[in-house]
Amino acid sequence: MDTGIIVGAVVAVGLSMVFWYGTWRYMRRKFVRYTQEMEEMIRRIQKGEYLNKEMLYNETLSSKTKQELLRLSDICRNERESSLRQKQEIQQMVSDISHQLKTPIANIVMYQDMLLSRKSSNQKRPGEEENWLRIMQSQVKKLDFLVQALLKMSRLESSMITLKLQEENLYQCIAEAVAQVTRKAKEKSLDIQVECPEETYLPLDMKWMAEAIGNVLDNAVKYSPNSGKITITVSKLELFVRVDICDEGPGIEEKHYADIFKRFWRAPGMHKEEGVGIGLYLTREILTRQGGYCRVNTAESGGSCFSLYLPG
Amino acid sequence: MSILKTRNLKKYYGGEPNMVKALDGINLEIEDGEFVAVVGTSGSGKSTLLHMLGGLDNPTEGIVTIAGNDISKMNQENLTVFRRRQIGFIFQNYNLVPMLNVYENMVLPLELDGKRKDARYLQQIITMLGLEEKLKNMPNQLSGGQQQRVAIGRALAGKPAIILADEPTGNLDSKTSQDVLGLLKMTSSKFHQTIVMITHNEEIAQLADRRIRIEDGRIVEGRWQE
Repeated sequence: MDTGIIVGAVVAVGLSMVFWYGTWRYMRRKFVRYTQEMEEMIRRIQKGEYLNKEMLYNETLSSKTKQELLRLSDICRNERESSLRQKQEIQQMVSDISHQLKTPIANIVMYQDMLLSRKSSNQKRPGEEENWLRIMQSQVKKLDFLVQALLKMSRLESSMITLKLQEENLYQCIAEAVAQVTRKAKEKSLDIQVECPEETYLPLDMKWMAEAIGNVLDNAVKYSPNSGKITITVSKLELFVRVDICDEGPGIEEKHYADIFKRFWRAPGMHKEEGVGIGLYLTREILTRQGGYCRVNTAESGGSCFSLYLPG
Repeated sequence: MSILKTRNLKKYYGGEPNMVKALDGINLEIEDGEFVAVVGTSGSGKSTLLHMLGGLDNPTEGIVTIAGNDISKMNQENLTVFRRRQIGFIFQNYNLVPMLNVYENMVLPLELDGKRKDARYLQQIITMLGLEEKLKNMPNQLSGGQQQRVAIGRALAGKPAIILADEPTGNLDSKTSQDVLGLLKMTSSKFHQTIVMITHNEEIAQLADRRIRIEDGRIVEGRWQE
């Protein structure tokens, strides 16, 4: 009787040991195979070999893991390529701007030479020298403008400055931007009207946002006819806050809507106005980095209407 | 690196003599992280193109490659899994599941795939879309704009290689449209998400990094990235 129980127990324990050993062997073999598969996959990714990707899309665990691996390798390759592209872009930018710097410098050198060589000779015409000096002055101004633009852009481009978003009053931001153009607006006796609740708190970077609005305003002032009107209106949507800046200038053709935010783009026939075509590009960058966006439209008056959107 | 590529893509409907060439040799390349708008009048073939890109319909001829996968050669089963993992769809009429609440709708593609949910990422999306307070609501309790926001969340949840949006603001009023577009734009810049959006509206198209114009089944503008 007792021996029967003991024998039974021993057999049961023995059987279960065999069972668990078998299970362990089985699981281990599966695990080893899975690991080998992954290893093989990683090796192939490292070598950049062609992978039969079609096999990846089925409902197995290894298919999912492999896919994540592939994605990781894609991300790495992408980052490498995009940093290369950025480098090329910056080179392009530097060569573009240095090219633009050459013209005013050449002009200044020329007039300077003329002034210097004139000093000794006695065939002076009245007012001539002053005229030349004025030309030189305007060229220096242009140089200054270009250098400023270059500085601003390089700072934003190299991401040396990260925008710091804080709850700030949009009203103040607009006031700051308007203050920047007041002098130029007065010269053309423009009327700038602002319609904004005095307490509009939003997460934004005060300095850069003022720059973004300022760039649009700057254009509005530049292209407005004398004694024209510029309106700035702030309105609240469900998720975004919109700042509209409308002028009574010549407006923008619909086919150029997307072009104007591109770097170095200048409206055809507008080359006599000073500029390098980065103002609106910067505006777009600044808004994008704050999670917003911008777009342009034609106002009923025929002028252009820029809308800047910020998440509110 | 281009994430999406088509070679000589054609879609013909019917036979001679009444053959309709909806797409007639489309060659297209879209870079990773690009926000592309496809514009064209109705009947230009832009919706057909989107269906081909998303593997919702088979081309008559040509190849579609997404993230290195030639989807025109996949069988139906692989294609279904592929779509679920790599493509996010946003439709004009939202296409939410009416029996599921907002949160369930958003994580549906993940549930189907048996994927573990990245809770922090999901929270980030929900906050961005302004849906924190609506998670338990059913779709029919939401406005059109809110429903479309849920659809954007659903498309984003699976971290797809590409999001295809078919007239995402087609059913929305101008005010809500601006919100939805802003969110799409934010998605593209914040998550480096590749988006292809179809629209007939120039004003909307200017938000994109690149505009592709289609006429009579052919690309007439914006084939390559500049």
